[in-house]
Amino acid sequence: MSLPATPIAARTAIDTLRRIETPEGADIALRLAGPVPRAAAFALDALLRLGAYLLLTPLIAASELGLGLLLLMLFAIEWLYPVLFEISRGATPGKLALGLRVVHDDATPVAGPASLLRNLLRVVDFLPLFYAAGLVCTLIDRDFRRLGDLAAGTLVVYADPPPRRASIPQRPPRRPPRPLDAETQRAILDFAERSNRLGPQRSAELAELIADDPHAGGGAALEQVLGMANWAARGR
Amino acid sequence: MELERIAAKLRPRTGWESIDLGFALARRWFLPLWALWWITAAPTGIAALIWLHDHAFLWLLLIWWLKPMFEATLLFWLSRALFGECLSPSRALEQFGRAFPRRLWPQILWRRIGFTRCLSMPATLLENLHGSARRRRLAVLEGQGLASWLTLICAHLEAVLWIGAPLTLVLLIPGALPGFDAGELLLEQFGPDAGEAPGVWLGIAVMLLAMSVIAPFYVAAGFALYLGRRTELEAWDLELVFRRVASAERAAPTAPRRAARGSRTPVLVLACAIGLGASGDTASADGGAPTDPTAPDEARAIITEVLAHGDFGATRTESVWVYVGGDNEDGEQPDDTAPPRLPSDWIVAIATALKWSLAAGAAAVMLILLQGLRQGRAALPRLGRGKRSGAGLCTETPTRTVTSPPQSHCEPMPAAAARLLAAGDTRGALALMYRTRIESLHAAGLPLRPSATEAECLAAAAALAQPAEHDWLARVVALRQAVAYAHAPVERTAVEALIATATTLPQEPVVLSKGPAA
Repeated sequence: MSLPATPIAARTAIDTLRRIETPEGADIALRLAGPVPRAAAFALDALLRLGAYLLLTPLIAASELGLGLLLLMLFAIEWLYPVLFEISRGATPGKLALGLRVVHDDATPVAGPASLLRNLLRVVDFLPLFYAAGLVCTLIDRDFRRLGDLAAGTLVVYADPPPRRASIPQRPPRRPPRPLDAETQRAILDFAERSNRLGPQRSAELAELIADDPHAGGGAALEQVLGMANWAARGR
Repeated sequence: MELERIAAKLRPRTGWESIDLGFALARRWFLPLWALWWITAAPTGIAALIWLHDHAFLWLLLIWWLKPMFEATLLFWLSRALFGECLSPSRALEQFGRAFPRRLWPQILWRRIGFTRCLSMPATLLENLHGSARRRRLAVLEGQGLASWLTLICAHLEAVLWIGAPLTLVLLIPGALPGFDAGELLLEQFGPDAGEAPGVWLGIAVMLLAMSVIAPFYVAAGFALYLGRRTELEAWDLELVFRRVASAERAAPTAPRRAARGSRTPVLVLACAIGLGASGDTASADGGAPTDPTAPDEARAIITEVLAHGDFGATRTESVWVYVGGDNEDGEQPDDTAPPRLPSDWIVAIATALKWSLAAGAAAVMLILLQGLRQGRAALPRLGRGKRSGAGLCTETPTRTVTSPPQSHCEPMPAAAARLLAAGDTRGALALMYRTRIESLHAAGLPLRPSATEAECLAAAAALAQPAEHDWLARVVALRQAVAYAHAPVERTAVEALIATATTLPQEPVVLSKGPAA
């Protein structure tokens, strides 16, 4: 078997993002969720539903009326549980616990028709047993969609955590020796935020790569880069 | 390891996201990985058959036990492919055979039982750690502890495929096929005398297939967990950006020179010379044995010598177009091609007249505008969309400016309204009541913008008016809106009642903004 000889780096980097451009021209990236977290979320939901069924079983004692009610409730829980939670909360409790959301493939929150469709098609994904069809489909599809997602045009994505206020070590701002592009400035700011978690040696090693004086030692280089981060944070 | 060649996007990820990246990697390279699994697993399995062909379950147990061995090849291949080196299977096995087996023995002997194999294999095999160093490394890499979950879930995914595949076949075979009972075939492999059943090897083949399909995903997900954790611990994503910037800077001194060669401005050449001079200085400082340029003459000689080098620019001739006409304006040689001068006296006269008439016009417009401002905006000439007289719907102006018939100026309001009502002008009567009341409230200090709507006037009036008065005003507004906007018929008696109430309210003469009373 012969393998492709082209260097991989030349091709697009592998990632689990799906980029979408809104009509306003804003670029947003959805972080797609794959089969493993979705299976975990499904297991949680299955446990919750099992709990609900167990709570309902005493209805059997109330003769045939109870049995009828029980069957109706089972039907409602089995079919409407995901739909109701997806419309009201954006995802079922199991998905919410794992930080997942169901969205349309244009990144808008999922609405009634799409949610209903993707959950009705659960039956197809379930075939022949335990979601084997859905599993194969998520393994093959680029966006980890199962058949229901393909039909309804939905995606399961990670919800963005609420933004936290970032803080960087305060240093006197230091003007970079040459203009830095946006990506580099962002990387320097990231570095300043994460530098205390990286440990002093690794921070110094990284700082030496980009410090404006290449002969500065580790500590001095770190101080220089932190100063550049303060400059970038202020914009001037 | 060349970080620049990494095929996956490096960014800080959660553990779950790392697992998903692993699945994406496995999908990209599924065929080579899958083939590699079979290349190692098939010979092993066939060799084991020689002894175990009578004991199908023992054979399956052996294959299951040796799973780390097959996965190690995948891991090795993946670790090379991620950094841009797609090995062919034979070369992969060759390199693998040199490096790995010694490290692999513990994995398939005493470390086989355990849930974190996917994460510990990269640390053990790729970093070649032993003993306490390995234990400490694993404790650091463990992170969120998702490795066990990954193993557990992948085992279930494997089981789903293993059960699902034969079941699909059974579902697709027509039930009426004579002499074939699919259900029995499916079930007999689990029966008590399964070892001898013909179907058992079929079941085992399906199981192997399921293993081989999930294995690349499992290995890649574990490897991605390892990558994600190292990215987090060592900021690989930042290192990548920093390295790119640093290498761009190293390449920078040559880049402006190339630009200068193509450019037309000497400024860039100069900038290039300065840049090169600076880099030359540092280079000589690094060089270890520079000549000591203390004497000015020596230094000057060196500078001349250096500047003579081709890198510092060469002499070249450039032709540009320069405008030279401006200097000949008052020169001795007037241009022959210039147009003859026009007799200018009367042109100047016309221009002066135009100028003064323009100034006069501007002054007149200013006066008109000033007067308009002094008298309120209604006196301004309406421009553009202000034309509303033709609409017919709103012949009265909405707020406090009144263009009522002059005879009502000095009449008390209720009487005027009653007269209008008697004339059949219900709408006029209501408008008059509303306007006069708002006008008086405004005079009493009610803050109102000229653009205020009825609702805004009413809300503002609530603060200033007596409750009875406000209630009356509210009824007036309601009726007026019904008449003016909805064209709804209004009971004449209701208007009369309002007029009667108006007489009980504090009386003011009608104060109008435009008229003798104002």
